[in-house]
Amino acid sequence: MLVEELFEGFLGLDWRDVVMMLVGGGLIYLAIKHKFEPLLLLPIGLGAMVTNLPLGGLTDEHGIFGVLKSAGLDNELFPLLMFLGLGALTDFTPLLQRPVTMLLGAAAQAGIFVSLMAAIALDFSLREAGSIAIIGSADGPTTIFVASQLCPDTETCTNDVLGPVVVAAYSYMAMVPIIQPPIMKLLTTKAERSIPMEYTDRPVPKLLKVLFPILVLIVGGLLATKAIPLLAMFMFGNLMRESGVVDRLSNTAQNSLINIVTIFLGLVIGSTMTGESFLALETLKILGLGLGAFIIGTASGVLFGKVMMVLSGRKINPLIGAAGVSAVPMAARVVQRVGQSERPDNFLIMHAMGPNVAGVIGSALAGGVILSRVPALAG
Amino acid sequence: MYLDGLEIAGLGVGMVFLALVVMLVSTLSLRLVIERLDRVRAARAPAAPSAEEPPIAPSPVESALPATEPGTAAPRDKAARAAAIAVALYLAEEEEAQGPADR
Repeated sequence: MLVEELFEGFLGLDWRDVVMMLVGGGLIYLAIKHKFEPLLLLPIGLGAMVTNLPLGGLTDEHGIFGVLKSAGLDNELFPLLMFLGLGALTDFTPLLQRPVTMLLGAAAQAGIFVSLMAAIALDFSLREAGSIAIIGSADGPTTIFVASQLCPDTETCTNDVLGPVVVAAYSYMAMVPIIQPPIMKLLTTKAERSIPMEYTDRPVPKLLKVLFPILVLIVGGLLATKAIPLLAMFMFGNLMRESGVVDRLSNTAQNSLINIVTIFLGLVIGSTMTGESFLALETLKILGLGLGAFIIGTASGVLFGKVMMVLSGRKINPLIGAAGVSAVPMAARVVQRVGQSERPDNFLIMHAMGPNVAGVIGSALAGGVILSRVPALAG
Repeated sequence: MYLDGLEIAGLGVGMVFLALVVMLVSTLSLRLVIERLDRVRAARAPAAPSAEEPPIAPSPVESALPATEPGTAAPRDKAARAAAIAVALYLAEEEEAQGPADR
């Protein structure tokens, strides 16, 4: 009896728990050793490890993960607060210097909708397919916001997709430097990758910077009503930054708030990665579909970049289209690196930041469309 | 379900493009208007200093000199104008008396 009590934890251990603890350990390793999205993969990894320790009770209704989940994930609070902080961190200046690159942020969203079709073909329900497809937005908060609304529990969706979807989204965002370059090189010639883009330091009026978030909110909100929460928080954060009159609030949103929410969000997401829900064939399918969404998003961005290159008389380097997948600022850095590897004096990063931040707007809009149409059609 | 998927995909791509095109056009229009306004404001700036900039206080030397009409060298004050005319007449008479070569 005493022995049983002493080894209670060991006796309650299932092989799936052990595998998931190893998965959690792997995420922690990637975060520390390879610096892959450490801000999120570290808490997610630890959350996954802890939640799979038997009899801990952390995910129970009154356990810390259970309380955090019901407080911030079940009602979309955490992703929206993250968007507030991201808005305060975002500088739209590169986009406003060359507004035409906004279109690249739209083109790169094609991956979302292609993977939606692929998920349906793989026998996922419409709600599950919508949750999986949004991985292609390459935007963590948008992915959580959409997936948690479409598949909040196993009653609404047969498969528990939230955990795998979020892990896939953040893992692929971390792996953008590995995923994107081969596709960019495959779809462009050396001459195209070497097209120089001169940096014009065109001043952007302060009034335009202040009005832009309001404009995006009104236009986006009217066209994709379900995207209003995401757009409103993002643009409010940006308005605080650009107005210059609430520096204290802006600094809080950029630092303390987003850091606190990141800790809570990471732990809660990790806690959803239980062996029962994660170790299934469906998880592998989700990971595959998410990767496909990233690849197609990158490809469609680059191809649209080529269209713009032709229309502009080779003044636009098609590589910057790859930054339209969102994943700020990682995707823009990848464009810079690939462009510079072909031509060392070519600095594309500021040109790539335009489609990069437009990708955030585009992915929020795509999420809004999915949120409005999927429940209506799925019932 | 495929048809539902196609509907969402078509609508989604169309909606995202439409929204960003509208944003693009609105941004370009807004920038044009703001830049024009800035240019007009800049053109007016030398004639009428903006309310944001406090007027520069005249130096003690400038304060001692008579204020002049805008765009001319004529003093605004009547007494100063009369004095200036008297000085100008005196200088003209002197010039006539001495001749230009002596100057």
